[in-house]
Amino acid sequence: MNVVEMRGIYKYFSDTCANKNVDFSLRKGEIHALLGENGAGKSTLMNILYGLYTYDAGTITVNGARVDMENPATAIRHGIGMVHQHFMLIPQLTVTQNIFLCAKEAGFVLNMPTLEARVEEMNRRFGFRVDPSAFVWQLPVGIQQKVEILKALARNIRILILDEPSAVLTPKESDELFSTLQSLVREGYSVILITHKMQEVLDFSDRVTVMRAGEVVDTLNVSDTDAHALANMMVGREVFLQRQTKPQPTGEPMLEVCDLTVKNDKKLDWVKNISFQVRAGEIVGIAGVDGNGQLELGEAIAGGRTLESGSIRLCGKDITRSSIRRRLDMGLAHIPDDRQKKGLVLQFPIKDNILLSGQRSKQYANGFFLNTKKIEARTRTLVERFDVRPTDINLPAGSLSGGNQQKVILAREVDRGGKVLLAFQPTRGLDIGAIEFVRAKLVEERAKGAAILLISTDLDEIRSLSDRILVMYEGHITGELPYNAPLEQIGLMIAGHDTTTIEKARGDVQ
Amino acid sequence: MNPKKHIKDALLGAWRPALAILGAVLVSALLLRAFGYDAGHSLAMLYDASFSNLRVFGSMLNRACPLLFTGIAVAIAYRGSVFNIGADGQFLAGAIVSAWIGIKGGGLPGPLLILLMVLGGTLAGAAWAFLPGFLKARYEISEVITTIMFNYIAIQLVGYLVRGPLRDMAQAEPQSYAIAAQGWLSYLIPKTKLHPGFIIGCIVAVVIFILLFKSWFGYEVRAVGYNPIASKYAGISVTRTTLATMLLSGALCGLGGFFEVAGASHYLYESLSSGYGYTAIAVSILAGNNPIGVIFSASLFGFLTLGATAMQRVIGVSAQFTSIVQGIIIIFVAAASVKGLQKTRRKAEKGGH
Repeated sequence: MNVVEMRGIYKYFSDTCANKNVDFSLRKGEIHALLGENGAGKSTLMNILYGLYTYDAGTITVNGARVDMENPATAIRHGIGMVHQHFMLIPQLTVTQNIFLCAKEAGFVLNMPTLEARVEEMNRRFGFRVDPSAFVWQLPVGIQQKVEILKALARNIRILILDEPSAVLTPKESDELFSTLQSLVREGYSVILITHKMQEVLDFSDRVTVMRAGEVVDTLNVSDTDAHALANMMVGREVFLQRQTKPQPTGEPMLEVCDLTVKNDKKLDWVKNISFQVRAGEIVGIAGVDGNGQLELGEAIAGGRTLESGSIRLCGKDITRSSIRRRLDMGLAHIPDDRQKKGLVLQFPIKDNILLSGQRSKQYANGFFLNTKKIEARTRTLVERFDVRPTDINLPAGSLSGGNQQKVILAREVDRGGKVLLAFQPTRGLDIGAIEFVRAKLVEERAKGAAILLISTDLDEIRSLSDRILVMYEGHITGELPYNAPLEQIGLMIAGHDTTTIEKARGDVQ
Repeated sequence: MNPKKHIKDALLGAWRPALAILGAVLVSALLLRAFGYDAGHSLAMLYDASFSNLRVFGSMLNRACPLLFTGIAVAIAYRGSVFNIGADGQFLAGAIVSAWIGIKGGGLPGPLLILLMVLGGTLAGAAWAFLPGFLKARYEISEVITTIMFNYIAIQLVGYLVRGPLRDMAQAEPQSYAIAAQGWLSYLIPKTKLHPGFIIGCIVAVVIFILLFKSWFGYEVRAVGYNPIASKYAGISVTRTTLATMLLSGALCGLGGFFEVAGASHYLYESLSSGYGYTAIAVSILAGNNPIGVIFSASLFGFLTLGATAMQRVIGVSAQFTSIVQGIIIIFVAAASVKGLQKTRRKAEKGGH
């Protein structure tokens, strides 16, 4: 019996179609995995089911009845709950206060002992061990997630959506989570698991729906498929942007990362003992699904995050402990992952964003004072050469489209004449024209002899630009592949299957 | 942008505050009427108090002087995203050290004594801002709280000094000895008490404006103020810039304290600052946090406070009433500036597509 039935769902974000004629169904008592790359439309679909997003066309049926999913309150009333990747908890309140926050059953005057007893009762029933009176900020992430699940269960949820629940967990916490989910489905709950980790699908799910570029590829019983087939479905599409270049002879190693270990914001080791080199004249691509340590790696190289151990060398010199200023001066160019937060001052006009990081240089300043004429002249040249539109250099950067904002950053960083370019998600969220422009510029810099480290979750981008591909999974570099490695192989590796497993999978098929 | 466009923009920018002040005056007049005063006479009195002759005009500028310095200080801090609520404490710290040097340094020649007082007052203001600035820059502790706390310390310190070590027993009210006569700043125009503070404040405003908008230092201050993360990735030390902003802000307040002591009061007393540092926040906002604009908004507030005294003396309108008028003006100007913001945003959006 289907508890959820979504038919012909369409969702547009301005001009982009995030969900295109999506059909999805959930059976009672199953764990149903929703598998796909970043941006495949999984989270969008589930946010629609949970009433967070409106949808442009289609119907939703819950327990046999048509539901107009207006907001999360409607969803909760129909027994649908969602645990987001970023928890919606109030850290300063206790577990019990969080669980019964806004719950009608709690009444107007809170009787804490009674409510805490109810939390204990749920603990017993679902096999949790969560201290009802603990403050949420004191709890490790794994327990916080359980509080989120309890919060949903306390609202009489029967259908639970989890958005990449294991992304923030340690392996042990993940195991606990999945055994919890399995006991929930035995009690008749239904679970939707948004994931891009193959193993979670194969080990814990009953059925899987694979999404790609906003559309459903197929829905299958997990027992009828294997990693090989799923990887193919997940990434095996026509490649839009064909590779234009062949690897060229490379020069000296310009960026050397040795035994690097970096912690994430939650103080967990998130980059683990990574070593690699980028030589002059090559593009090294780091492929991987978001959250596998790329952010921490990129910030450590840029100098924005302290590292636990290991060393980094730039142009042959040690920069492990160097300031960001020093790294820039030594020849690092940096296209950050978040252009609005890390790359631009949105309130400043274009010309002042071109100036950013060069304000003390002889090029733009006469001693203490800025040389407005030189700044404006240089900005005009760059705006023309990088095709920034509109061309009014006095417009605030915040008024530009994403593609043009990225061009301003690219212009500034390339113009500084760096020998090493760290390009982190350089085309995320850009339109096709801007994507092509940015990629062409990267190839141009490579031809001029720059060493480029490209970190991207977009496999097309990795494949069309990189001369070598490193795969990052759970903080490790799990393998190096040549530029012409088959897409399916990369797809398997970013989902946590190493090459040996692939060989095995191949053997099984043959 | 050509100069003509600059002037046009400035004029277009000025009509909103002007309209706001006009609106505020109208509302104030209505209020005066409602409370049974002769509105016309009261407002005329307000005007006369500052503009009827050169002597009162000088007094008005003297009144504006402490607001000018603290206003510029708040404005530059605000540009660096530092909310310096502690201008009052930094002003008093400057006043204390200037007065102390002025009282103890009676044996020194005038120019040297004045130079020492300037340096002492400025450094004292910066020193008073150092700890809140350091805590903010290094540990992200809210400067709003720490600077307010430092205000209380400075206020009580003045109280202690004028009742204890520095008290002039010849006076009935607690106040310090007067500073040595050679340390008094001379009056600029005969028959007025106009000391050089306001004029120098105007020069300081222009210097700070140039610093903020034409130098790499000011550029870094503004960049950090708008987006500390992007600034960090552009190699700017956010910690150092924030601390420097705070020290500069404090130094300007301290300089204001020096002028109040050496130019106006010549001694230290408990109510030396009638909350200048707090009024300075309004002064800075009214000026759109533009140092040059502060010259005008500080003058306006000087005009209002002086007028308040006159209205109270002659017609019996409560001095609190001008506080009401000040409040009304701020609300009007704030409302006008919000409107202005929306317009620029629309313009920017249009330009983007």
